[in-house]
Amino acid sequence: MGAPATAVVTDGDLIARYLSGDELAAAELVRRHTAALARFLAVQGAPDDDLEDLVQDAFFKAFRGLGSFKGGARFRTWLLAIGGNVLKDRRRQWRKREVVELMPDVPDTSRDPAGEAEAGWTARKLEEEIGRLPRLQREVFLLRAQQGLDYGEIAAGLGVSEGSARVHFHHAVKRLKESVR
Amino acid sequence: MSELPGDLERALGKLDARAAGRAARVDPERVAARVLERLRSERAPSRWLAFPLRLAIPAVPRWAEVAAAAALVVVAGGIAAGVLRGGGGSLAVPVVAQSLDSLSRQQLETVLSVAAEVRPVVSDTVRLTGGVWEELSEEQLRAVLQAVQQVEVGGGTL
Repeated sequence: MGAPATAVVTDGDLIARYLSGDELAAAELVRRHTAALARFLAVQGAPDDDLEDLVQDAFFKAFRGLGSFKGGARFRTWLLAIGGNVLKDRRRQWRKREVVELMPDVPDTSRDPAGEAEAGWTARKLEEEIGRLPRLQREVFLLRAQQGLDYGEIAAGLGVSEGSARVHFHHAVKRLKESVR
Repeated sequence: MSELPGDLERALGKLDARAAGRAARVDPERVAARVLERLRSERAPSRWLAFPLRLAIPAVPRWAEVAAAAALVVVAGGIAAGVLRGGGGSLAVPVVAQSLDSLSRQQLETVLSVAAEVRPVVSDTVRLTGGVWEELSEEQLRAVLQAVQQVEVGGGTL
């Protein structure tokens, strides 16, 4: 007789365990979603020095608000939306302090600097333009194009209709397309 | 098929690769430890006693909080009874009732018990005998206590 297959513990199971006091469940949720959240924030121009702090803030707010998480969207989508809000708030603080470096100069580690120079420049232009998009356009665009979520999931996570999510995506693509020409 | 035009897809791919490289430097274990620490420290203050002693007393078990709150209500009731018996009848219930909204159901019942005991007119008119208010909601208990307060302040009857 073979060993039983390892049961997949869903995010929903972990959330329920955390809400009943199991901290290890929360740690597992952090392990599962940190990379996606950090990537989501980094592509929007979150500075390296603040990235981990922003991720931490987003998780903290998510756990604190878990009681209001209805489960209409996946935990990750909900978490990314919270991350977007955390970044927006932090940008506001940075603007007040006037020490903002929205677009940190990240060294390009590509192996072919000459060939990649233009692509790097274009990527940077794109990063700037993503940062300038209205919030919903930016988040819908990234959830769809970067995170690969379907429109239904995006709509549930951001609290908009599916049709509205499609329209935001369309507008974002139209605007970003200009920036990479 | 990609929904993105070729140029945009390539640029996003490049940007995302850089973002993934930066994201890889975020340590999930460290994030988890700090988040849990913040959640724990945020929970701690709510477990402190809700009166000035909280500055000196660290987190205590729930049963101790309940016992302390009950003791407070009983002591307040005793003082109120003393005041009433001494002729200062209009003071007792209003003093207790100032913080009506912050009292739990159990505390409301205790205060009503004290009021009924020290002020026979209260139990005579509202029939506040043991067991009656167990059937009342918390809101109704508050309303009864407010009514008692008004009677005491106004010197009228229910």
